This record gives sequence, C-alpha cells and structure tokens, in this order.
Amino acid sequence: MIAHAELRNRIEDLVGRYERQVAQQEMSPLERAFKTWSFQEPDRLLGSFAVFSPLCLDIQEITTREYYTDPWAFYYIQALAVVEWGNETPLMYGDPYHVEIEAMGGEVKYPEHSIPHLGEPLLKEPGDLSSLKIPDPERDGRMPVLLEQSRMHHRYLGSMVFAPVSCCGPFSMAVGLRGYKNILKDIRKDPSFVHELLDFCCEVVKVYGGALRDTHNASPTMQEAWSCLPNVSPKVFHEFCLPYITRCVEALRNPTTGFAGTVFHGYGISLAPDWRSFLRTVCATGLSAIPLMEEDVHGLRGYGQMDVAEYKKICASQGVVVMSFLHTDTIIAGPPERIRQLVHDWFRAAGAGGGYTASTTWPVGALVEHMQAFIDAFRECRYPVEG
Amino acid sequence: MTQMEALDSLQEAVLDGEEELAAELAEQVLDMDVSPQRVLDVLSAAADDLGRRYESGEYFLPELFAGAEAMSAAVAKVLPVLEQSGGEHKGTVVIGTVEGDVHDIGKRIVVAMLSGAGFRVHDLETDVRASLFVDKVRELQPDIVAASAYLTTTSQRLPEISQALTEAGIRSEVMYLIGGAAVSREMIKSTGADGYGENAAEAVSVARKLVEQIRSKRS
Repeated sequence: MIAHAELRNRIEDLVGRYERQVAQQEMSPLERAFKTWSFQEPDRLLGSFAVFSPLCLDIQEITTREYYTDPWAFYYIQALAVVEWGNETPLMYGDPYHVEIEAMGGEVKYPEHSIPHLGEPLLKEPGDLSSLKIPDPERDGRMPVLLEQSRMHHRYLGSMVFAPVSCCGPFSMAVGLRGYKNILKDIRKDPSFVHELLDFCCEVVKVYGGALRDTHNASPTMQEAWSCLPNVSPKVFHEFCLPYITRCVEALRNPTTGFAGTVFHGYGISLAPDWRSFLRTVCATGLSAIPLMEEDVHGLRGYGQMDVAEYKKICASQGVVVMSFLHTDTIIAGPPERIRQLVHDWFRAAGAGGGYTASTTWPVGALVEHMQAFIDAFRECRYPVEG
Repeated sequence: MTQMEALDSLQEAVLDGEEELAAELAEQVLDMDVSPQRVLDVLSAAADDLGRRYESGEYFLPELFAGAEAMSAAVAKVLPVLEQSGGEHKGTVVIGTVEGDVHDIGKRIVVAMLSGAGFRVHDLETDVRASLFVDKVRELQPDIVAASAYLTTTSQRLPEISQALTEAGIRSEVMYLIGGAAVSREMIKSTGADGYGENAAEAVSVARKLVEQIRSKRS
C-alpha cells in the first residue's frame, strides 16, 4: 500500500514528464485520437493497451484489490502505463460489469490479487425487480470512485491523452442482475419480464453513463460482452439486445463532441450466419466505434474469419471507428516479430483514412518484450499508409 | 410409447434444452426397464450432437447451455441406477475452476457433456485451491484432473496444480486436462498439463484419450 500523498507526488511527477514528452511529439495522443475518431489521418497509428491489474506492469506495492477500490492507486497505474509505456488510451475503468450491480446492492468480492467478481445474482426471482432502485452515481457503491478516477484524469493527463469511461450495457447488466442461466430461462419462459428488466437497465445506463460522460466530455463505452455471439444467438440478439443498445447509444450522445456512446461489442461477429449484414446492423445502432477482435480475424478458439479491410470498409461507410484488438494468446505466445508483423499488416489493410486504432490487453505474466513489440509496432505505423 | 420412442424423445429433449422434460423422460425410460448404460449411450450421442451443432454454428451458447443443463438433469436420474446395477463409467474426472476464479458457465457445460458421455464427474465448483485438487485425487483416485481458468490473472494458477500433484507424489497417477477462456493449446507445456480442450466437445474427446493413456500406463 502506498499513501495517497506519495501517490499524488508520483502522479504529479509523471504528469511533468509526460508534458515534456508530448512537447517533443508531432502531435499529442489526444490530437491523434481526435483526428482518428474524426476519420482524418493523424501522424501515426493510435495505439493502446488495457491494464487490468498492477501485476501487468510488475507493480507489487499495490494489490489488485487496492487497484479496484482506491482511485489514487488506480490512476497512478494508468498514468504509469501512459508515461512509461506509451499507452495512448488509458482506461478509466477495470471491471465495468460489476459497478452498477454493486451500486444497486449486489455483492462484489474483491480478491487480493485478482479481478473483482460478482456474488449470487441480486434478482433471485423476477418479482425482485420491483424492489430495485436506480442508483445515485455520486453516492452508491463504487460509482463515486469511478467518477473520481475520471475527474482525476481531467485534472492530470486529460489535456494530452484521451481516456474512455465505461458503463455496463443493458443486456450485460441484465445478465449480471439475474445470472446467465436464469436469464436464458427467462427468455424462454417469461420474455415479458426480460423486456421489463431491460427497460430498467436502460434507465440505469442513462443515469450512470450520463454522469460518467459529464466528468470530462466523453461518451462512455458500453460494455456488452454478454450480448455478443456466441453468448446469445442472432435471434436473441435482435429481440433482447439490439433495441436496448440502440436506445442507450443515442441517450449517451455527447452534445459537445457529437460522439455517441461506443459499444464494446465486437467478438463473435464472424459467427453470424452473414457477418457483413450482422456488422451493418450493429453499426446502425449509431455507435461511434466498434472492436475488431483477432479471434474473429484468424478464427481463434472456434471463431470464424473475417477480412480486416472489408470490416473496416463496412464500418467506415457507417461512420464507425474500428478498434482492432490483438488477442492475449498472441501477446503471450509471441514471438515479437509476429506481433509486430500483425500490427503492420492490419494497419496496411485498414489504416487508410483514419478511423482505425490498434489495441490489446496486457496479460499478466506476458514477456515484456512481447508487449514492447506491440508498442513499438504501433509507433512505427505512420501515415500515409504505404501500399 | 415404446422404449425406442421414449429414448428418441429423451434425446430430443436434451437437444431442445428442455431440462424438466429430459429429467422426466430419463425416469420414464428407466421405469420401462431400459438399462442405465443404454440411456447413457443415448445421452452420450446427444452430447456429441450438441457439440457438433455448436461447432457448426447451428447452435449458439444459449442452446448449448440449455442442452447441457437438460443433459445434467437426465444424467442425475441415471447415475444412481447405474451405480446400483454395478455399471462401469468411462472414467473418473475431478474438475474445478482455479483459485481466485469464479467463472463457471464453461465448466458447467463441460461437466454436463462429460457426464452425458459416461464419465463420473466430481465437480469441485469454482475458486478451488491446488491443495483441494490434491486431496480429491488422493480420496477419489480419478483418471483425470481437469481445471479451467477464465482470466489471464487466474490462468497463472494452472501450473500450481501440476506442481502440487508432483509434490504430493501422485502426478503420475492422474492425467491433467486444462481449458477455459484464458487458456490456450500452447499452455499445455508451461502448465505441466497433458491435454487441452478448446471447447466442451473437444474436452470430452481429449478426456477419452487421456483415460486410455492413463489406464494403459497403469496396466
């Protein structure tokens, strides 16, 4: 554990170093992000990586539990990832599927060295829904902690680097409240209850997502892993996910920037019977950006295969930015040359015209040279894209 | 309804994910004096069919999960009768999600598919310490220890199980099967495992091979 005063000193030191670094760059990561998201070509590819534990950066003096519960500890690690490792999109969240549930009274457990997890579902029976209340973001559960992290970013590195905030999407929130097994049964036996629950979840998204958005003018990323194929079938997606996601995306639109909410809904698109049509449908929700996962490109872990250039073309035609993600298996397995090659190949296929970013997750235990290869690679990808 | 019609209906109930119906039909066919082994053979075929439909993209996780739950409900009716009749299992598996990890959807599907395929499965549930795997291997003498991890943080725990079995002097008595969202085929060596299942269907086919290997080693 590190005292807050010490963390504050370290963060301020990092901010000073970063100001000097950015002054020497052609363009700040924030300008790079804005151009990218506006479908203009910046100086080079925007790159980022998710850090879900201090152990990723081999920091032993902050436990994973502290990381998830103390905004100072969390922000310090994110700032380290930016300043010392070159992350260009630090995330102002770590476990976005739990925050709303906890704020509504659900149990979240915090292991010392692992990511938090949910206890038993809060809604034991459909009738329990009537006792749930929309949480107050400034008061309930960890919502104030997440808002504080985002405000800290606004104070410290916010003028130089973009950091997305995030809330749970409506379908994933419904799964968190009711449990996956139960929600599948409800869909079969009591679909009207599921619609009622999703209506409620949309209201939570609007209230909490709106509060996050207003911390620093950034529309939140809605995490919607549970609504991805194969977790749901296309039929379930169209009835129980799509209408509610669409409703929330528009509700979270930022009046200042015009950007709508982003939806972390990417993996599994290759599993749709017609992935091109499915992708167009997802893009038509009005979201600003969508992931492109490596498993959907290379057919990893039973997924299908999609062409990177074609995926980008479809998304760009609907004004949706593509956030490509290398799989953690790739980062763990290496070798560095393969990681570098993938980043370059995909940039050549999809980078032209902006609207394209490179990302991955820093897996705990991955060799540093593998992550370094990823970081070096996105820095090497300069505009204009060479044939 | 004839025995054959009842067995067909049972298979269909599993494929349709009808949990209560599958349990009822399992009881019915047993009451019709169908041998428990025969019922398990039908369920095993249903498990294979579920896996095929999932891999071919006809089924998604909801259908697979519902099918697995229906399978579990039917197997729960068959196993006591099989035990009473002295019928043999295809092998014994001790399974759990590693310490610090509470994800259990994938594991539940694997448990159901292994049970349906005729394995005796001891599910240690989630957040299982390596020492508990060791205790259960000593107590139950299974053919396979199967462990899953769904986070890159918790996948670091997988080698601990192999090490704990080695330190207890019983590593050679059991095969070690790994799987889960944060686990890949490349991790077999680094975790000290003997096999990897990318999905439930593959876990069953790898488990069959591992049982053959350990039994031929023992004999």
